[in-house]
Amino acid sequence: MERLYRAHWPRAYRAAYLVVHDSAGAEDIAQEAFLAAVRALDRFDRRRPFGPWLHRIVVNRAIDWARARTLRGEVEANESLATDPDPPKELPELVRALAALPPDQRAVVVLRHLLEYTPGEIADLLDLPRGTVNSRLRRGLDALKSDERVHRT
Amino acid sequence: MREFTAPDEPRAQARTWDVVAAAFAEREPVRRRHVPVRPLVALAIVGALAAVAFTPPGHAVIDSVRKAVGIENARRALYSLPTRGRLLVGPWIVSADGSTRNLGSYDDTSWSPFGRFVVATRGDTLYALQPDGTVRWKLGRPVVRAPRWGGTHVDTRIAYFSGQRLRVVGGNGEGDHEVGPVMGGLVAPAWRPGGAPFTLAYADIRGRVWVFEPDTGKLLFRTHAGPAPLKLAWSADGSRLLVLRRRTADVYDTHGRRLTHFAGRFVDAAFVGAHIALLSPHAVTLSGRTLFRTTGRLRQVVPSPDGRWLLLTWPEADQWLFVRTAGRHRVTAAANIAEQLGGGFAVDGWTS
Repeated sequence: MERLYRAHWPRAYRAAYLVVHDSAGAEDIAQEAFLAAVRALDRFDRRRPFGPWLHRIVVNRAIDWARARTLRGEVEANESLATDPDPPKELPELVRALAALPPDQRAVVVLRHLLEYTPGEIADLLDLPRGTVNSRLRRGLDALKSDERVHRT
Repeated sequence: MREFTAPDEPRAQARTWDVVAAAFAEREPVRRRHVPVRPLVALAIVGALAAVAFTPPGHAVIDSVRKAVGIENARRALYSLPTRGRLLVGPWIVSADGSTRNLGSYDDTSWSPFGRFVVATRGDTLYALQPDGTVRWKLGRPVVRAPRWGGTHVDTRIAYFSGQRLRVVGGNGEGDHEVGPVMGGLVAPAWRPGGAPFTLAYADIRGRVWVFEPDTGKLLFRTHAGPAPLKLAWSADGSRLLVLRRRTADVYDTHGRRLTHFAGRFVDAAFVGAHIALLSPHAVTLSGRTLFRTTGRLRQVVPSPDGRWLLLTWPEADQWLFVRTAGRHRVTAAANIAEQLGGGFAVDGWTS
């Protein structure tokens, strides 16, 4: 378990963070995904790669989290779990621009360019038609390209 | 993007590993074909399980089940509480030294302020009791439920539901009358600590929370309708009200301004000093820090009077867990709670 954890946790956490843009939320999502792994460990088919299985849980939970947060219009307060306890001071502009995308587009961009899945693999992970994945990827990347913050870097 | 490192990454990794490692250590590996048939047959006979528990071989069977559910190194019984105070568990009072006293046959129970008395219900009667079980007074009302005792050292009130009607009676049993603008829902009302003016929060059947002064009828504020609250609780200084619902936890000030909003899946929550402990089915957090997580299903979180410990109840394991809120991480567990307390398990309060 420890070997799996050390190999996979960083990218799971980063992917979650890039989708939800909140370190406490990302930590909870990554933690939940690994706890799901602990629960399923005895049934897991070890011939299958662990990464895609884990990333499917992480990204789907992250999308749900980000959508729910947008709908609620959460109030930030001193001890809110939604408040980033360690506000990043020097986040790359690309990351800030990514946060401006809708959660669905953020997720496919992260899966493609951080976790390096092909569009076909992304379609499997998110249970989406391939065309939908391509379309969200194109729209997301177009929005990033036209974002002034990205051009300034 | 491949070079990106997320904020707080090293500490988050360490924190999460503590939780994952603990869950991995607690998990019971799936047993394959070599499990003896006889214990399985014994376990399958649900009706006989209770009888089996009281024979020596039965204890062994129950213990093998227990190891699959709950903290493995739990003490076999509750020998003491980790800090001063007394627990109320239905009609049972559990003292810090582990001694227990049964008040009698009662249903809903609740401490008075400072733990001087207990209010309890039985059938259609409301009782005020001394901690030794002596009845101070009683009041007959139809379908009486959810009593809560609030006030100061010298002036107290008891709020309760008779059916869906909210009523208030003085701590001496006098002056019983109906209060509240509308019919009440299921969750127990909550008195604001500190007394005068007496302020009471309760929820109606539409999930709106009303905060008002029963003595004058003055309405302080009312929330919007929503899913039925699971719990209403005031902070110890009376400045904030927690409204817990299944998917949200909101904190309001006394003017009705929402100060904090949490979203998730919740089963319980409680103020711990200035902070809030949130209990989801599998974890408890305090100020965003996960103090304990398990694959089992937790049910209640009850802070100790000094705020140094949280009591978590784990019904399917018949265990109570005590988790430190600060300092060195520490979890202790006591098993066989229902057996010790004659079937009692759910905690109705922890007072000084």
